[in-house]
Amino acid sequence: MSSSELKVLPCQSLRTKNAYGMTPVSADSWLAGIHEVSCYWCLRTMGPAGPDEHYVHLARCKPGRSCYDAPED
Amino acid sequence: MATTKLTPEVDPLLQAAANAAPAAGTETVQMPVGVPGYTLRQEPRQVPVTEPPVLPVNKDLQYIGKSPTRWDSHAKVSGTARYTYDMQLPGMLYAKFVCASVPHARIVSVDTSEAEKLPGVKGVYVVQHLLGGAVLRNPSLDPSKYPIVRYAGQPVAAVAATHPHIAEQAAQLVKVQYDAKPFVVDMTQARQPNSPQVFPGPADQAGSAGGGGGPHDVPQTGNVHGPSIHKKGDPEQGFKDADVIVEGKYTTQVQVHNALETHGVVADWKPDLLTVWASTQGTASVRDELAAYFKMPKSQIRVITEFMGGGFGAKFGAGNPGVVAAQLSKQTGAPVWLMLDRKQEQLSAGNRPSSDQTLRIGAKKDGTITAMQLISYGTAGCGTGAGCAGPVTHLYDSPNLHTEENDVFINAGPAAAFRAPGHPQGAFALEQSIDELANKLNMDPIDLRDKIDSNPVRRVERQIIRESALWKSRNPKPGAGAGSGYLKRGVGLSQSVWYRFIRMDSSAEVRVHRDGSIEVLSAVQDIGTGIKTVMAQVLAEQFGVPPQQIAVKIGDTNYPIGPNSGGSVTTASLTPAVRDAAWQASQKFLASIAPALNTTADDLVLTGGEVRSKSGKLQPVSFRRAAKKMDTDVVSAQAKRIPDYDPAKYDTYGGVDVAEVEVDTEMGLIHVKRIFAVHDCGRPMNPMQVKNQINGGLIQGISYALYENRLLDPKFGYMVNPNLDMYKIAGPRDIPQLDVHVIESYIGQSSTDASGIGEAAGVMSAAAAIANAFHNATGVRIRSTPMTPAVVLEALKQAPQRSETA
Repeated sequence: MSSSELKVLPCQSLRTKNAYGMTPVSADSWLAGIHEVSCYWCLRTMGPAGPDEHYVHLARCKPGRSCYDAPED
Repeated sequence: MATTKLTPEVDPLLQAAANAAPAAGTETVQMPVGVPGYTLRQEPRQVPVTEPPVLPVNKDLQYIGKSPTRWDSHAKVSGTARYTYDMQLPGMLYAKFVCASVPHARIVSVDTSEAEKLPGVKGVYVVQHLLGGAVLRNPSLDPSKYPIVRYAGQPVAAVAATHPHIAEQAAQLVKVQYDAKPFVVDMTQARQPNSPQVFPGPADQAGSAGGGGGPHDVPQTGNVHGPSIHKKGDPEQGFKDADVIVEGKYTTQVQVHNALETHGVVADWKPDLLTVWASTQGTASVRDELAAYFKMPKSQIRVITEFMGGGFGAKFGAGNPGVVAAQLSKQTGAPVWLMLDRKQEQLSAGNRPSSDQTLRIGAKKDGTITAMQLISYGTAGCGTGAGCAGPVTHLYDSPNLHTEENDVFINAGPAAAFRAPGHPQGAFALEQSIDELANKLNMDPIDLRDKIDSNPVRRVERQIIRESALWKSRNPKPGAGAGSGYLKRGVGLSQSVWYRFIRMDSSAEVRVHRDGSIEVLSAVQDIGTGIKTVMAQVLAEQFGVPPQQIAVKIGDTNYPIGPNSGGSVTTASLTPAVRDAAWQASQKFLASIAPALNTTADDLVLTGGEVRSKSGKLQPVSFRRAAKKMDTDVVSAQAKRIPDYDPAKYDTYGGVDVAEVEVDTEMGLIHVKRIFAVHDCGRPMNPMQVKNQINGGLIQGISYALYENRLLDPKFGYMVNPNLDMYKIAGPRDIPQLDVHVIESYIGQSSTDASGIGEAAGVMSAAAAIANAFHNATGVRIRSTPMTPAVVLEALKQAPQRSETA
C-alpha cells in the first residue's frame, strides 16, 4: 500500500522512526504500516504535541487541524 | 526487475569484464534455501543479470560467515575511538538544558537575565511556542510564548557556556514561573472520566478530525487514544468452537532507554555548512530533520557519527538536542556540545510503554487454535505507541483474531521506539498463555507449538531445544521441579517473532587504488553491532584479501547514503549493496589489469590475496603487485540496494529460548541460572557478532523481566529513580550462563542473503521464558513484570487458585 491509497496525507511535520527510510514499496509507505507501536513527534515542536497543543498521530494530523501543513508535491 | 546499477553499455570497463552478458533483464539462478542439516535445498530465483554470482552457504566461504576480529576493536579498547561525547573543537561551548520541574503547567515566564550575567555564558535559548497559524486546542489556555509542560523533565530552555560546570550553574539560574495544572501519572487513574487531562480540549471521535475515514481513524476519549481494532475471521464463533479457553490478565512496566552514550550532538554552524556530530541511529535522519526544520538544503548539512555508544530505537532524527545545539551555535558563532545527562536521558529520551493486557485463547483438544482476543491498555507517557499485539497477530496460526489496543496518556515523558516495539510486552502474555494452554491440554509445550506455529525455521529451533539436555531435565509437572524446601527449580520456554524490513536508501561505494589498497564508503552508522566488520568481510570475500586490509569509512553523510539502523534493517539492507559495489569494482579492476597481463578479464580470478589465471597461462600475482598494472589510479563502483529477489517468499524471523530458574520461595527471589537460546537471522554474516547481539538481547530481556522499572511519584509527578543507582539494570552478578546457538537460515533474497538480529535477539522472549520456568518450578503463574520479590511473594500467595490442570 502506498501513500496514494490513503484518502488523505498527514501533515508534513508528522514524524516517527519509520518515516526515515525508503521501503521497497515507496518513500512514504510507512504511512500504511502498523501504527499502534509508533511514537510520533512534530517536526515543528520536536515533541509529542503539535503547535496547537494537541497530541500528534497519524489519526490526528490531518486536514482540518489548525496547524496542518499539507505535504508538498 | 529494474536496477540502477552500472550496465555494460554505460561503463567500458564493466563491458570488457562482462563479455557477452545480456545487457538487461533477469536470469534464473539456483540459490541455497533452508537450514543446513535440516531443510537445505536449492530453489530458483529470478535475479537481474547484473547481480554478482550466487554465494554458497557459509561453510564454503572464506570470510563471510566467519568471525574475524572486529574491524575497529583496537580503536575501541585503546580509547582512540572518538564518540560524539568525546568531541572537542576549538572554541567549543558546552550547553545544558533547563528542564521543567513540574509535571503539568502553563509557563508564565522564563527569566534568563541572571544566567546571562554569569561569566562564561555565551548563549541562551528558550523553547518558544511556534504557534504560526495554529489555534490552541484548549481555548481556556491563554496564548503563551511557551509550550505547555506535560512532564517533569521537559526541556524548557538551554544555556551555552565555556565550561560544562558554568553551563550547569547558569541553567540553575534560569527562573521559570509556572501556572501549575492538575496532573496524572497513574494509568488506571488516567482512564477515569474525572481524571486530569493530559491533552485537554475537545476530544476527537473517529473520523471527526477532517480525515474522511480510513484505517487510521482511532477515537480519543479523555486520556485514552483508542481502541485501534483489528479483526480477522469470526472470533466469537471461534471461541464457541473451542474445547478449552485460557484467559489471563498481564501487566508490564515502563522501561526507560539507557544506551551507554546518551542522546546528544555537537553542532558547528558555519555560513555555508552546518556540521553535526551526532550520537544517532541514522545520520541521514538527523540531516533530513535539520534540513526540514531550518529550511536548508540537505547539501548544506553534514552529519558525522564516527563511533556511537548504542541505540535501541530512540535515536532517530535531530530531536531537541539537535535543534537547540544548532540554534545556539548559530547564535554564538561557536561549535556547541549538547549531550544529555543520565537524568535527562531517563526523563525525556524515551521509554518502552507499559501494558495492561487481557488475553483470551480458545483451542480444540488437539491444540488447534480456534480464536484469540487481546485487549490492551498501555501508557507511552504524553505520547503514543503502547500497542503490543504483534506477537498475538504474527506468531501462531489462528483463523479468528480480535485485537484492541489503547494508548493512555499520563504526565510522563513520551515513549520512543524500543528494541522490538510492543513485542516483549505482547510475548510476556502470549507465551505464558500458550504454556497455560499446553498444561490444560496435557500437552508438551513444544508439541503444542509444533502444532500451531508453521514457521519452518522455528520448527528446527524447537527440535534443537527438544534434544537439549536442559529441556530433557525439565520436570513436565508444574510445581514438581527438583529442589527441596524453599528452593524450587524450573525450566520454561518462549518464542519470539520479527519481520523482514528492507531500506532501499542503502548504498555503498568501493574503490580500488593503484597501490593495492581497497576502501568502502557509506553513510551508515555503526551503532555498536559491527557493521564495519561485516562490510570488510564482504569486500574481503570478493577481493580475496583479509578483512583488516579493507579500509571501512562510514558514518558521514558525505558518503553514499546508508540505512538508518532500526528494526533490524542494517545488515539486510546494506550488505547486498556493498557486495554489488564490490563485485562491480572487482570486475573493473580485472578489466583494468588484464591487458597488461596479456590476458582477458574473464581469465582472471581473485583469491588468496592473489590474482590467478583460470587457464593457468599466468603465474599467480599478488593483489598488490597486480594493482600496479591498473591503467588508471583508481577504479570505483557505487551500488544501491535493489529489491529482494522474491518478496513473496518472506517469512518471519525469531528464536526459541529456554530458561532455567531457581526460585527462593521464602525471599521471593528468582535466580536465572541459564538460558539456552536458538535464533535465526538469515545468513549469519559474522556468527560471533550475532551471538554478541543475542547475549545483549537476553541480558536486556532478563533486566526487563526482573529489575527495570520507572517509578513515578503520584503526589508530585516526578520520576523518583532517574539514575542508574535506583533504576536497577541487570549487572554482571545477575547474568546467567548464556548458551547461544545461531541457525543458518538461507532465504534466497539478495546477493548476501543476510537479515538482521537486533530485535529477534532474545529481548522479546526472555521475560516469558523466565515466567514459564517460574510456573514450572512453583505451579504458580506470575503475570506482572518486573518480577521483583514483592511480586513473586504476592503471586505465591495465590497458589491454590492457580491450578492449570484441565
